[in-house]
Amino acid sequence: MPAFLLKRILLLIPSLIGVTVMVFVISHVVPADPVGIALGPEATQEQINAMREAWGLNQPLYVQYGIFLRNLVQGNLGYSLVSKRAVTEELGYYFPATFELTTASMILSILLGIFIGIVSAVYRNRLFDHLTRTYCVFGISMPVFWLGLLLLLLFYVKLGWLPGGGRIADGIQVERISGFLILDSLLTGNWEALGSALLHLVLPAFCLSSSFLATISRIARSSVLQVIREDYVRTARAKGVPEFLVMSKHVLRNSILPVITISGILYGQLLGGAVLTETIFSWPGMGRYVVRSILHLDFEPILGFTVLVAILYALANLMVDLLYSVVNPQIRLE
Amino acid sequence: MKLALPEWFKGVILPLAFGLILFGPGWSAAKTPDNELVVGSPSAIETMDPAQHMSIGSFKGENFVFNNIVGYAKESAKVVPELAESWTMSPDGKVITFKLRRGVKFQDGTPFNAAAVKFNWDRMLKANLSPAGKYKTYADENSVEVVDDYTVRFRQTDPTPVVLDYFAGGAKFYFNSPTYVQQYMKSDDPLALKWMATHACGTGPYELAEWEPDSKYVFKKFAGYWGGTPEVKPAPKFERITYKIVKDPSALRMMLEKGDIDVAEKLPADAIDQLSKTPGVKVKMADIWKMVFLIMNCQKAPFDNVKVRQAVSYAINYDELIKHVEKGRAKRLSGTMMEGFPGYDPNLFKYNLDLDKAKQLMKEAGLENGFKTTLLYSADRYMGFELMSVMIQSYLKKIGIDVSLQKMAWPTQVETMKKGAFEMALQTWTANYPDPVEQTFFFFHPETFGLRWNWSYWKNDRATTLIDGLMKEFDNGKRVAMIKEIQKLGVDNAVYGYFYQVPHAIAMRDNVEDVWFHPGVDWIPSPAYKKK
Repeated sequence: MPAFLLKRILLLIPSLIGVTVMVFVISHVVPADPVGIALGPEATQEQINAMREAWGLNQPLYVQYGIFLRNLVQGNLGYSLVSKRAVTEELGYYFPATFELTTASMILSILLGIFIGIVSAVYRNRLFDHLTRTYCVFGISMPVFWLGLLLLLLFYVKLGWLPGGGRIADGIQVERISGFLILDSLLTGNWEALGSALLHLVLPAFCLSSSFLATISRIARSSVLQVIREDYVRTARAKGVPEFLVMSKHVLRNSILPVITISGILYGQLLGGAVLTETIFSWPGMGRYVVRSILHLDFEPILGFTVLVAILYALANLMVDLLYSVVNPQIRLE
Repeated sequence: MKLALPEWFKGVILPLAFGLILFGPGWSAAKTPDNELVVGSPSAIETMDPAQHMSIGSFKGENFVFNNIVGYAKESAKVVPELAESWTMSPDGKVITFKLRRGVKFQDGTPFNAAAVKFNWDRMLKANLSPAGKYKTYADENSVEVVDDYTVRFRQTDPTPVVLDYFAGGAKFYFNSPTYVQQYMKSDDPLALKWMATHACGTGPYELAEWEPDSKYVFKKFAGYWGGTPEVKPAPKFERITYKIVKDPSALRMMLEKGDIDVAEKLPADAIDQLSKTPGVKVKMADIWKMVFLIMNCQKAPFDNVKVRQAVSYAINYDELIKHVEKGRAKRLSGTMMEGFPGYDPNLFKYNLDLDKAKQLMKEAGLENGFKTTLLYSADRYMGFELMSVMIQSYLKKIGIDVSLQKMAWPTQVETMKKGAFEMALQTWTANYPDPVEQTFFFFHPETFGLRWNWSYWKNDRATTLIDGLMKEFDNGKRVAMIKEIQKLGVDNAVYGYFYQVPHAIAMRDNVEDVWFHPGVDWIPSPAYKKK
């Protein structure tokens, strides 16, 4: 296991280099000048040149990339041209919001998806299966921004049951320890903040999970259907094993691998931010941050974001591989 | 398969669900506290530092926290005293001597005085960012001189008759407490740019209390505020102003209707239309100095032919554009001089829809069979361009011009236009002070080609001479005559497609009163209050 982990961590390095080179080159060859945009129309050529020099943008690309790598090794991801703040500080601000939203929606998708998949498979072609099949079409095809607005209209405007945006109610203060509101509320024993943070999470998490829930439930259903027909399941039933144990010990365990795989991929993808959901629900996450940086051609935040997402994606895949060996001990990690 | 619903489901659950949805809590209008104003906007405040602000968006936060050396009276273009009680100008207009107001304190308790003015001037120029760029046209590092504790002399290197407008609206002249800034000046950041980007210590009616980037900014009333004047930033009535970032216009609208916010900015025209009829909400329309127009690259065939540009101008249905894009709420442009500017002439010739004339001009240009071209636009520059571009495409089709639409991110479009690698483009321009020089120099002078945002690339010796003269002319009568002649040249040569001046609409709860909105796109919140 330690050798496996070390190998995976070492493999991350060439992946990071490859990804950052690609993003670096693409962002620098796009025909736009972030300095000109930042300084506005009254900027003189002298000012533009001065700012380029101050930010190292007049250096050859390979020199700029070298400086970026050197700084990266020192944990310095540079500064935003727009906000003048350190990229590490900004990612530290936006990432917890994205992590909370993403994790909540994945938990919802996985738990509900597996449940729906199992029940749909067991009661296939019955009412429940038809309803969930209909939901899956809806969940995958409904644009997330449209669903988000409908959810706001119903639960926020019409029913008044849930808040309309943001991470926490105005006026509730939470001492910022980690930046993860739920964790910080728990650590400080601020139950009002915890309740408010959880309530604010409901609509955006559900909105974001809608298509993933559909995907996971369909995969779970077909996987369960496949396993449920296996001889060992029939044998277990014939031997009088309670149905609950048949499902949990034999069927679930053997059908969950595809769900783990797809969940890992989706989770890694989501950790890069969900700009549409964040926009609708005023969620200050990484999706909005990187879109703003792209529109301003703010190179260093774009690169910093890329590095972070690449690492998170690799970690998500590593987690999937580790879970494989937990769920199915026959799988060896090499 | 027969779908059989259990009886209990049909009899109980379904009616309950429908009942709850239809007759449930319904519109439970939340209420913001009476002593707090909550503003929702899709635009984040980028920075609080007057030495670094890059766009009009930054002015929002600064307006709450700072005072200017001179200001605009309420919602007008009249320059009045603010931190300067009075001033005198030398006969040649080069030197202005300001007498500063006494008894004004910064939010850290230190006094505002001439040394603070000099400190902030020097810092801004050393930072050499966007604000410095604005001032360097007329001044340099020696321009500000401390005469005594409450007298400051400002010496222009290249005098402009609109220097006071420059202070009041153009570049603004705001002041942070030197004592506050100095404690954050470090060897790796000698001007404290990093700290001051998200912190402030001004003399204004509100202090910055919380900063959550791209999410929420909270300003609390400054107890030691000097009080302002009845015309400029009077004493604040709210204890707090919370500025929330809500990117999606539909979500923003819902929050306003529900009462979770008091004021919503930058809503699209169709939302404004509907909100004006919504109970509990009212809409304030404010004239702002923002124009929407079409750029035609006058150095690129066939737009180098004035007849082609005129043909395009006659092919546009301006009334329809205003009706559909702005829901009828915009005024036709008269050249580039907007209403409220010196030299504005509402009777200046305007192109109106005349397809016969347009076709005739195309024939005279030898292009009666039409041609293909491309129209660049950026929806992140202005939301209305999505619809406008399609409408223009259909208008020009009628005179044989086959337009391909090319949507771009704004930075990419700017770079493309700077290189002159385009034919037509849609653009907006917002002036935050009524300077006829800017409205001519940045539109018609060859010195501003490319880099400095004049993307018409139109060169006319007479217009150039007039603009050069306008920059130095202090006689108002002569200035107006020059402005009018420049505008006539610009219109006769159809340098741009002059569309319209777009108003600004702010929607708010109907208990919010006395919101000032200056045409330079400045929100002045301090006089506002809520009716009980």
